[in-house]
Amino acid sequence: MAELLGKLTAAMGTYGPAVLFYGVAGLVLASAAYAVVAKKIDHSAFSLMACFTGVAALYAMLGSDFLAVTQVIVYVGGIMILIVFGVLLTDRLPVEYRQISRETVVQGLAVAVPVMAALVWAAAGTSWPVVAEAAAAAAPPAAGGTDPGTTAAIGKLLLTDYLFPFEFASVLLLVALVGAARMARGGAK
Amino acid sequence: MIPLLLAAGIGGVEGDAPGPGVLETIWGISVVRGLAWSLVAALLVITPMALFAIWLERRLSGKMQARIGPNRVGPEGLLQTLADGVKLLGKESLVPTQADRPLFHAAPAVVFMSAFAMYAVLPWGPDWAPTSLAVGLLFVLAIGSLEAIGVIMAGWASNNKWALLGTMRVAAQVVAYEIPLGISALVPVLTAGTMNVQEITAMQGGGAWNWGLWWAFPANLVAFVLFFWAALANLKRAPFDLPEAESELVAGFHTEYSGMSFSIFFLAEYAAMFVLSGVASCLWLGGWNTGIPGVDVAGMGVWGNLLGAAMVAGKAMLLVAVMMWLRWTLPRLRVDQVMRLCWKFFLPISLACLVWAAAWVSVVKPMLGGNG
Amino acid sequence: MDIAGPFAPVLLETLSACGAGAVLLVDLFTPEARKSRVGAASLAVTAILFLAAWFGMEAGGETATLFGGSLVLDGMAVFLKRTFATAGLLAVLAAIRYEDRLPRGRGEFHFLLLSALTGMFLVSSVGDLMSMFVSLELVTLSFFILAAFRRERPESVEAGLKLLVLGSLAAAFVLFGTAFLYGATGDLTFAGLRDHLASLRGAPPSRDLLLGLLFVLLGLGFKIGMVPMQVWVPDVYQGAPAPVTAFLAVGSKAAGFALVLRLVTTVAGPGTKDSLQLLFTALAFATLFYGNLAAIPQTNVKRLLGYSSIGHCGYLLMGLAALGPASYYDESAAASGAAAILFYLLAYALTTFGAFLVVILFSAATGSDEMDDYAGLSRRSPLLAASLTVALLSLAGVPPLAGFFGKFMLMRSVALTGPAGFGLLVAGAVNVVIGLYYYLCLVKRMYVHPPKDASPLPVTGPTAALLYALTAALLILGIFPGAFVTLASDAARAAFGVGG
Repeated sequence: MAELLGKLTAAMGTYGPAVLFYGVAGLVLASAAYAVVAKKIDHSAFSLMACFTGVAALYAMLGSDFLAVTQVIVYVGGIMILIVFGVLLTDRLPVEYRQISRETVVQGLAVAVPVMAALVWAAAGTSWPVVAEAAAAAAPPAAGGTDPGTTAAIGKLLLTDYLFPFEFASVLLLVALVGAARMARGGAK
Repeated sequence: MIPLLLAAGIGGVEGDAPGPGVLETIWGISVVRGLAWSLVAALLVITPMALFAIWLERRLSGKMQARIGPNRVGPEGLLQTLADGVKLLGKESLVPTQADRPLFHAAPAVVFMSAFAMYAVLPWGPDWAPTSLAVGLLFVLAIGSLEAIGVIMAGWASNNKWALLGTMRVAAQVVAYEIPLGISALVPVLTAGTMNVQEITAMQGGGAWNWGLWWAFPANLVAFVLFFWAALANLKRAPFDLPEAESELVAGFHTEYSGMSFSIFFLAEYAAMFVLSGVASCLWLGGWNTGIPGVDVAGMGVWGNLLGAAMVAGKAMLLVAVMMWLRWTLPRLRVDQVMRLCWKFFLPISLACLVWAAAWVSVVKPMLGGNG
Repeated sequence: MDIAGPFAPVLLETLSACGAGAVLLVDLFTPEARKSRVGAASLAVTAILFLAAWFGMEAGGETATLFGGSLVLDGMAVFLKRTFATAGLLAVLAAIRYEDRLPRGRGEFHFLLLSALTGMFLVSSVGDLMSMFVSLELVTLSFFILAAFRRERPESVEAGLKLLVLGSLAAAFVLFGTAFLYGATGDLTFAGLRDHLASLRGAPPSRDLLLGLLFVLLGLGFKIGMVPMQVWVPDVYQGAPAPVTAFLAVGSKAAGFALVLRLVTTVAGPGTKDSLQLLFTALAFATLFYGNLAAIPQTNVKRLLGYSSIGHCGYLLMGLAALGPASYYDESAAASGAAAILFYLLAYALTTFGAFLVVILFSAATGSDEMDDYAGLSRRSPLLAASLTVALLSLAGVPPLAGFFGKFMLMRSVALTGPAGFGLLVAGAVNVVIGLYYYLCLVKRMYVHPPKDASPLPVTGPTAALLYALTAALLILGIFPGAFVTLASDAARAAFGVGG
C-alpha cells in the first residue's frame, strides 16, 4: 500500500505538472474557440471568461504569480464585467444570432493559416531556454522561507526602467476617459 | 475547478523548500496539497462556519425584532441550518423552461468556488496557513471578482425580469465598489511592504496597539472602515442588497433558483462574509495575534496555532455579527445612492488614505527613525 | 538653441500633454457663447510647440537619453518632431476652420488633437518596445475617437469603429511581436536588440526574432497604410471629419514610419538586410500599385486622397527597400533612403494639409466632397482651385514642388542600390504617371468643366493667408530644399551610424 502510494506520488511528481499544464492549456484553447463559434453572445462572453481565467492559471504555473492575479483582476474583474454589462444592455437576440457564412470561414482561414504556419515555423526552430528550472537550480530558496514572488521586482522595474511608459499609460487612460465621455454623451444636447 | 487550480497553482510556485532540480516533484506535491487543503477546508472549516453564521443571523435578527428565532433543533437551535440543508437537498431543483441551462447550472458552481477559493490565503495561525502566497491579498480581490461574474451568470441565465434587473444592479455595483475595495486593501500593503497576508499578520504581534489599524494613523483606520463597507457591497448585504432586494425584485438574481442550487448561493454568501471578515481581521485586527502583550501565539506550538485559529474565527465572527447588525438596522440604498457613495465618497477617501500611507512610508516613518 | 537642457527628450511631450490638459480646463471654464477661445488656446499651444520644435531644439546635438533609454533624442527624432509640430499646428488651424460644424465638444476635439500630437512626439523618440506600444496606442486611441467624433453621422462612426477594430488587431500584432522579440533577446530596448544582433556576428538571427520583427512591422504597417494592412484607409479617410483625416494621413503615417525607421535602423545589419530588402521591395511594389490603381475610379475627393495616401506609403517603402542586398550593401545608400523618407514625410505633411484645407473649405461652403461638384471651381474661387492644383501636383511629384524633390530623393536612393533596385525604380516611375493621371482628372474638372452652380465661394483674409503660406511652402521646399535635405540626411546618417 505504502509502496503504491509512493509510486503514485512519484508519478504525480513526474507527470503532474505536464498533465495539469496541457489540461489547462486545452481548456483555454477550447474556451477561446467556443467564444468564437458560440451561437449565443452570452455564451461567447462567459467562455471568454473561462479562457482568461485559464490563461491566468497558466501564468501561475509558469511562476508569474503577480501576472496571474493581475490577469484575473483586470480581465475577469474589469473587462469581463464591462463586456457582460454590454451584453445585458443589448436586446436578447434570436437564438441563432451569429451567421457564420462560408465566406467568413474562408477569409478567416486565409488570415489564420499563414499566421499559424509562421508561429509553428518559429516555434519549431527556436531553442527554448527553461528559465524556471535553471533559476531554481541556481538559487534554491532557503528552507522554510516563503518565496518573495515577482511583485517587488515588477514594482521596482516599473518605477525605474519603465517609469516612462508606466506614467504615460496614465495619459493614455485620460484620453480613453475623455473619449468614453464623448462617445457616451454623443453630439446632441 | 479553475479558481482552485489557480490557488493551488500559485501556491505551488512558492511550495516547500525545493531541492535543486526537483521542481516537478514539488509541483506534484503542492498541487495535491493545495487541492487536498481546499477539500478539507471546505468540509471541515468553511461549511461549519457558514452554517454557524446562518444560525447567528437568524438568532440575531430574532433578538433585534423582539422574537426568538430558531431554537428547537439541537441546543439553542444550532442544528436548524443543517436540518434546513437536508430539507433543501430533498427538494426539486427547478429550471425554468426558457432558461439557459448550461449557464444556469454553472452559475452556483462559480459563485461557490470563488467564495471558497478565497480561504486559500486566510492564515489561521503562525504555522497554519493553507498557502503563503506572495500575492495573497490581490488573490482575494481577484477571486472575489469571479464571484460577481457567477452572480451575473445566474441572473442572465434565469431569463426572468427580476433576475435580470438584479443582475444589472450587480454589474453596476461591482464596477463601483471594486475600486475602493482594492485601494483600501492596498493601504496596509503599502505600510507593511508585502501582500502576503500571513506576513502582514505576523507584523502585528504584541499589544493591540501594534495592530494594523493604527499603522500610518489614521490611514489604516479609515481604510479598514472603507474596506468593511466596500466588502458589504461586495457581499450584496444591506444596505447594499439591491441585487436581491426582496421587496422589489422577489429575490433578485437567484429568483429562479430552488432546492440545493439555491442553498449553494446561500452558503456561498455566508462563506464569503466570513472569509472577507477574516481577511480584514488579518490586515487590521491582528489576525491570529491575541493583542495581549506577552501572549505570543507564535511561540506556543500547536496550542498557539489553535489559539490563533480561535482568534481569527472570533474576530471574523465579530465582524460578521456587525454586518448582521447593520443589515437589520439600515434601510436599503437606492442605485444612484450606491453609485454616489462608492464613486464620490469611498473612492476619493480611499485614494487620500493611500496617498497618506505613501507619505507615511516614504517621509514620516524615516523621520521618526523607522519605527512608525 | 537648446532650451530644455537634459530634459530635451521630454520637452515637447510635456508641453503638449500639459497643453492638452489646459485646453480641457479652458473648455470647462468658458461659457457656451465664447467657445472660440478653446480653439485659440489650442492654437496657442501648438504655436508654442512649433516654435519650440524648430527653434528650441538642437538638431545636430549629442544623442540624449532619458529614463534609462526609454526616450532617445537624436537627429532623426528632432527632425520628426519638427514635422509633427508643423502638422499639429496645421491640424489645429484646419480644425478651427471646421469646428463650427461640431455640435459640441470643441474642448474634447482639441484635447484629442493635442493628445494625438503628444503621442506622435513620443513615437519619434522612443527607445524601447514598451514605450513604443504606449505611445503608438496614444496616437491610435486619440484618432479613433476623433474619427468617430461626429457621432450623428453614420460614416463618422463607421470610420471610428473600423479604426478601432483594425487598430486593435494591429496593436495585437505589435504586442505579439514584442513578446517574441523579448523572448529572443531578453531585452526590450532597441539598443539591446542591436547588441543582440551584433553579437551574432553576421549569422542569421533566430526564427522567433524574425517572426517578432515581422509581426511588429505588420502592426506598424497598419499605421502607415501598407498593403496588406490598408483596408481601413479609404473608409476612414472618407468618414472621419476632414481635419482629422488630414492629421491622420500625415500624423499616423509619419508616426508609423518613424517607428519602422527606428526598428530598421536598429536591426539592419549583415544578417538581416537581405530579407529586409526583399520584404520591403515586395511591400513597396504591392502598395504602390494597389493604392494608385484603386485611386483611378474614385469619385469622392477624400476617398481619392485615401487611396493616393496608400500609394504614397508605397513610395515611402521604396526608401526602406534602399537598404540594398548584401552584395551591394552600402550604409550611405541606406542612409540616403532614410533621409529621403524623412524629407518626403515633411513635404507630404505640407502638401496633404494644402489639399485638405481646400477640401474642408469647399465642403463647409457646399456640403459636398464629390469630385463632380468641384467642376468649375476655378471660376467660383480661383484661389481655392489654384491651391488645390498646386497641392495635387506636388502629390503627383511635378517639379518644382516639394513632392517632386521627395520622390526624386527616394528614387535616387533606390537607384544607388544597383540592379536590385531597377525593377522598383521602373514601378515607381509607372506609378508617378498613374498618379498624375488621376490628380489631373480632378484638376481638369476644376478648370475645364463648367460649374453646376456658379455662385462664388469667398475666402476670408486669414484663411487666404494660410492657403498662400502653404502654397509658398510647397514651392520653397521644392526649389530650395537644400537646408531641409541637409537636416534630413544628417539625421539619417547619424541613425545608421555613418560618419560625416
